[in-house]
Amino acid sequence: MTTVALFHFPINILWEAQVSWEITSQMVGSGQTASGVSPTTRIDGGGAWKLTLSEVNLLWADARRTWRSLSAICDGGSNPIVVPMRDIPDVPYPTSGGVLLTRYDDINHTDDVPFASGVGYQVGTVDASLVGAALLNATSLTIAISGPGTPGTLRGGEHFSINHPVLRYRMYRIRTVKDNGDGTWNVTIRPPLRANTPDGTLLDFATPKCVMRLASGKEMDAAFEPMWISRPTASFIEAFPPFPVP
Amino acid sequence: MLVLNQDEIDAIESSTQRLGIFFRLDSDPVVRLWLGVGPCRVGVNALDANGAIYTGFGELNNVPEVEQLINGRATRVEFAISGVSGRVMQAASEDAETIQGSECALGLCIFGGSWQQLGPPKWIFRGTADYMTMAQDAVEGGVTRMISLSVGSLMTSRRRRGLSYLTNQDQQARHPGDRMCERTTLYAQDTDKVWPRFS
Repeated sequence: MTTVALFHFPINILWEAQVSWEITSQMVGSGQTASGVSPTTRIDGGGAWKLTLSEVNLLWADARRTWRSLSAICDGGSNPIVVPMRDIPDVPYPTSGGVLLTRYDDINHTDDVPFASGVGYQVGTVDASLVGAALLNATSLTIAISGPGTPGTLRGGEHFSINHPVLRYRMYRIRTVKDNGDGTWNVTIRPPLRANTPDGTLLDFATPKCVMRLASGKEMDAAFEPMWISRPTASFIEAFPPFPVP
Repeated sequence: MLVLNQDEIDAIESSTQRLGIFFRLDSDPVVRLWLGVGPCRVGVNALDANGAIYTGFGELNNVPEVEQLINGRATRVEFAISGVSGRVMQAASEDAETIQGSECALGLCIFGGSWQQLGPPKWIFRGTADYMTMAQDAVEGGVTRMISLSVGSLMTSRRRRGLSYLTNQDQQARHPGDRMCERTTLYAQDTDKVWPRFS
């Protein structure tokens, strides 16, 4: 299968006032019994991601044009897009001397020249990988976290993503954590693992991502006030392959 | 017969269960769908000798109500399948004979609290796929397109030829030597049948 290039949502240009990343849950109930009990059944196999970006600030020209361009790229929901999560407060960054290490200095080319824009190569400080292969639908994993200084700790509620070969970026939420004391953690996750994942697979905690699509064709409609200001809200749901060529 | 292990019994006795609903169409290639999200690997079961992966990307929209058929009863159910899924469209566009007559099965699987299967899928309904119909409706906010797969049970296609009767002559023509209808003429409406005296 040919790998399709996917567009990425530019979170550095488009800033929302509120964001909601949640996992859907499809419950089926049979109604309340005479004793007041309401048995329920879940049939969705663990759910899928849904995202709402509320009041995205389109206050300046770059943001406005980017939003309109994205609207055309998403094509009413028929084209998927990779959406990163801003999870900075909860990323398990390492510490050194009590200071969080969120990034390294940019690395320039061998001649010490950066890119034309002035930035260099960037690399995250959270080095996390899977310990032992994990099968499709697994909900228990062992994660190794290392890095400079004192590696970060997990407490539950963090997010990470895996770039699977076929399903591409899939995000997972850590449900429970057990520290093994040797730099590895036994965690449970939701939703269940979307694909077989080999030992040593890199886990992206710094900028977790997920392939999403617009929840409906009208999600990126934006009404502009005079002076071309708008604060639209858009909803996305998790998208699965095969992905169309954009 | 639905056979559950103790873990499955304990799971369904709780007030909150996790079930997987599976659909299998034995066409070429085999279509395997489930109501959950994402792919799901199932173990060896009555229909998948080596286990299989069922896909859950929104293809299977809903499953019909099925009933236990006894005493030769027949039924016909409709499976609602997404009309915008590439996989389904590909299957629907194949030669109709590829689908028609294929075994269609509906099964369920019980999951534990960590979404791990407690046992293999149990196939609670098996039928024979007949035909597909497509319906497109305008609804608020857009258009929905759905494909319905009509599935009949074992007795659905039983036939009695028109203008044929359950008389001994007709039965001998159909199945020579069969004595089932030998005494049909002795039965008539509003007639009392006298218990035979053999003495």
